[in-house]
Amino acid sequence: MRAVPCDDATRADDGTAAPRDRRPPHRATPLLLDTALLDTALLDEEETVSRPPSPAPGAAPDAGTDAAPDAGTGPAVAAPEPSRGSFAMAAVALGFAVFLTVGVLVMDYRGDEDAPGPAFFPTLVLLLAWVATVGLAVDAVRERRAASRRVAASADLRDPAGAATADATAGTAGLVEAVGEPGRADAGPPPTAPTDWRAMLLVAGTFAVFVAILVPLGWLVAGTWLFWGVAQALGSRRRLLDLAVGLAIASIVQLAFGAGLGLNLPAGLLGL
Amino acid sequence: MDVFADLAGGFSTAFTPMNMLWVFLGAVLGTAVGVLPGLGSSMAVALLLPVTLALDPTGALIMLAGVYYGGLFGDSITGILLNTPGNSSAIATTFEGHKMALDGRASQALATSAIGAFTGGLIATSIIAVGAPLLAGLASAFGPAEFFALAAFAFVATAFVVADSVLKGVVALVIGFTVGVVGIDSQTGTVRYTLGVPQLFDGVGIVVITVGLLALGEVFYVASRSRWQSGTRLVAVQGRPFLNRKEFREALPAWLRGTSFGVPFGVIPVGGSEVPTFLSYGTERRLDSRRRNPQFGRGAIRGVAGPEAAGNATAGTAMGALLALGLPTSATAAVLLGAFEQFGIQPGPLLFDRSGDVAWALIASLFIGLFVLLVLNLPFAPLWAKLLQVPRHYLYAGITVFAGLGIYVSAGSVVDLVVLLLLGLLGFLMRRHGVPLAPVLIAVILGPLAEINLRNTLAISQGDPSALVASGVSTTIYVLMALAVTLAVVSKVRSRRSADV
Repeated sequence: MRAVPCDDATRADDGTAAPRDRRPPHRATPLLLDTALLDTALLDEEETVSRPPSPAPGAAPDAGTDAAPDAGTGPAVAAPEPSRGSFAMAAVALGFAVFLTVGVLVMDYRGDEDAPGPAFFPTLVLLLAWVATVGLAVDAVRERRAASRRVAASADLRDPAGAATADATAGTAGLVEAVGEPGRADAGPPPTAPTDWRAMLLVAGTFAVFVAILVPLGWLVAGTWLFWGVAQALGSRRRLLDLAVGLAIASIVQLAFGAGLGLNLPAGLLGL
Repeated sequence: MDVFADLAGGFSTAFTPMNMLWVFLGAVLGTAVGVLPGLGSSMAVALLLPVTLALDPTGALIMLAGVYYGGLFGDSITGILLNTPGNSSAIATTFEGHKMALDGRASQALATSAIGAFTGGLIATSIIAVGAPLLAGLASAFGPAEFFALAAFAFVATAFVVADSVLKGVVALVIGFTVGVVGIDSQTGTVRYTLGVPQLFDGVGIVVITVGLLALGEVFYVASRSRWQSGTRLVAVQGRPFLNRKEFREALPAWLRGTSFGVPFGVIPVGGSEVPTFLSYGTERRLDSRRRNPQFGRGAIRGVAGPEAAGNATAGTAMGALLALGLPTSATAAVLLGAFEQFGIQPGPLLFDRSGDVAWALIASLFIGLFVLLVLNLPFAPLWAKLLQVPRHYLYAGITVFAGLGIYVSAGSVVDLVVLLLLGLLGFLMRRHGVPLAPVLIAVILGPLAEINLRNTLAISQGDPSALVASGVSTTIYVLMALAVTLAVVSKVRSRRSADV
């Protein structure tokens, strides 16, 4: 049962698959991906596959082409938001480019003119940053166009998930292809699948509060808060138990680090 | 042979009870972090670095040697039992390993992977024990121009080969370079990119960067997807944890072939062990399909043995490249280089002269660590798997607490925690949009070295850029770089073509 969706996805990826050409251009041929992306690709595959897939894997006898990828795509909400991804990265690149440029302009230094000074290397990097910004922005625009075409195309086929899986299988499958072996493809949502912003912001907010209260309130309070907040944000339902576990962990840490290793932790309320 | 005399000296340092304890602790903690899904060897080193700050440099590096290999051993346990590899280096192992587990041969798969990791690590570590001093001797003729060429090679290789899109690789490099230039310029004393925050004058610590991008970024990412996560099924482990003679004979050639794939890739900066593990997986699969009774797809023992040996062999020789050249070839090696610098030890050609005792103790502890890990993993792998039963929200809450704690105790500064949060958000964005993290780490670590060497080269030549390619060594490195880029581009174009059919 579990292996079936994967094998179907493989078949879909072996070249018979129609959705191939509907992939956004920049993801066309990943030679190698980074650790995190691969991790999550596999993680997601596990998650989605272990869930009962909406159409039964065997229910599509004309599988192998468009219908098969459904099995590995998981929930319908995992449809891609293809355009936002590159715009966000282009914005990040722009931020870095501006930061580097302003930094070079305001840099205050004396030095002889012959040897390259402290602004030399940042100048090289900022050129690189501007190139990346423009490149990613162009990519993002092209991708958005391709996406709108794709949406129209998949509406005709009544198979909105097909495109998503083609994106996703490009991940690890591309890696396997790159070494000359079309092995098992791993279907998971693309990295731009919908984000649970609420949970993510809750974790980030919890951490921000931890930073703010660490010194005034001390490690025991702040550490307990951090554990409790993150556990709650990640979907734990047991408020009191989490609080107890958090307090226990914070206390053990206080003892091990403070007393054992002699590293300083803020005492906060305890020191009053 | 003075190599063996030096190595014996290293073993005598490492065999003190305290240092043995550090190796053991490192191996245990490294395996524990490696077992956790999504956390690999690089994160194990980053998260445990603050713990080692209380030790003397030798003890700390000895412990990190245990963590380094421990993370790699732990990765594959998760992959085999849960089908979610702890790290990208364990993906190739997972394919056949999980099938073996589903087939009721989980303990054999775990044993095959542990022995494979041991074999690959042992052969690679033996090679670096003999080869690293030779390599260092060779590299001691390197001047600033040659070092810059080497660093440039690493940048180009990671950006072009590791990333699925060159632009994303470039963005990752830019991020790394930018974080690397924050602080006081060592040559002129100019304050750069600190936004007037005095705590940033010394730059952003490598621990803050790795824990922020890797650990906190991962926690944010997990949170952003937790709504779509359902429970994963853990395969139970039963039966004998050892291989019988037939299985051993079956796996042996794959272990050796995997090792031979892994060894050369340790010294090539292509971002770690994904390439050799997949090369090994592909080779074993092809050889298997020619046999009378093909095993692949049904849980082939060779599909576990080969990639696992390749992964650890790469890690082994990567350590050699780090010690002898000061060149990190993977994210984990980059973090380790940062750790070395924290303790005032500069890896590179001069390491064996300046801090020879530490270097040899480290190599000796790599050997000891491998034996400890074999013992820890062969009979006790099912125990490690119990870690996977800890609820996910507790796991990640614990990681977050540990990340915040580690960063605070390493410098006692709240500013570091703020930077950590910002880097965590950046790491989240990069994960979400598929930007690789390895180039960031390599750029952060090697960027400042590259800058100094570039400026020294140009200062000596009085601004004449031809000095960069004047020597035979640097020209050779640039030619190799051009070849690597051409190869990468050709293979990308080729796979694009085959994809479009």
